[in-house]
Amino acid sequence: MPRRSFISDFETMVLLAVIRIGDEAYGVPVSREIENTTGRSVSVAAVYAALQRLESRTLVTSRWGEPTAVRGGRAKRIFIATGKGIQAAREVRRSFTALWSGLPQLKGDTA
Amino acid sequence: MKRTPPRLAQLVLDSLGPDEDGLVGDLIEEFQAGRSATWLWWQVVTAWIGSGIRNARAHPFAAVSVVLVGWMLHAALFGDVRGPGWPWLEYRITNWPPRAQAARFFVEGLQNGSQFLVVGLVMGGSLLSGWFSEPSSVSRFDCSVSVLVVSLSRLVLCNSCRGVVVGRLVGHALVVRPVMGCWSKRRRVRRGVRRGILGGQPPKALHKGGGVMTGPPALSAHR
Repeated sequence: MPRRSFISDFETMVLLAVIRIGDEAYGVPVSREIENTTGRSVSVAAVYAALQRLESRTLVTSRWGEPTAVRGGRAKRIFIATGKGIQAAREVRRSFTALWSGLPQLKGDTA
Repeated sequence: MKRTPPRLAQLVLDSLGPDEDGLVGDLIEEFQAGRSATWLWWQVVTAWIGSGIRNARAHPFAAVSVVLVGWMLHAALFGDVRGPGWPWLEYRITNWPPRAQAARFFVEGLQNGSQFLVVGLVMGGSLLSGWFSEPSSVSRFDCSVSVLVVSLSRLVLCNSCRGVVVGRLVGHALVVRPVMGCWSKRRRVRRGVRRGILGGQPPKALHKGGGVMTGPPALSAHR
């Protein structure tokens, strides 16, 4: 099966959230960022699944932080967008902008 | 005051294996920060299902074989391959007239097929959540829990009035208890490793490295 080249709606949200957060992007801040900006409730597991898919395509990369007692001795897995990821986000914006520009009837809020 | 997650939720999270340490740590941190037990359980269920799906996609042949093994285990435990059965349906179809035999066989086939799929998937999916991706992990717990769930549901649904409950419970205990013992021992060892020997280094850190923050040690030394 050929590997898909596009990133899905949810993966785009996760990628943009990682870029917005910056250096401390791990599961919980990413899910909160999506909830606060879109109003969409997401599970942390779904965020991690999307992050792993993005990482497998080298759109983000991860490193392990220090384990802490409050996390039950487990470390944070911190994600950061790669250059390829930022380029992919730009490409998504360009595609959507091109699509929106062809819809004059949706320029106002009357549609 | 430090809150501890529900014990069963903690067991399920532990069974996910070290690949999911980041996710598990996040859930514990959020719970201690004030999230409700309902929120935690919802996250645990989605994490468990997601982990099983990822494992199945990563090991498709193992997924199929493990479903079959799960079913054979069930058949070996209970002596047949029909599964729990639906007593109300059996009662109705056995009263059908002889002219409806074909329809009766069709309904029985649907019943057996659906049971095969459900029971095999439950047991196989539980086994999959850790067995193949992390052979030394605590996935035996999932196996024993699935056996327990399937056997108890069978007892409740079908066998409670047939006088064989005690015998099957004993047989079940003979199988499950050693598995649970094996799991508990491994879990204690794993906890000890995490707290003591690793000393702050997460299990995957040595392998995945990150590649973002850290440069090659040789270059650091030259500076």
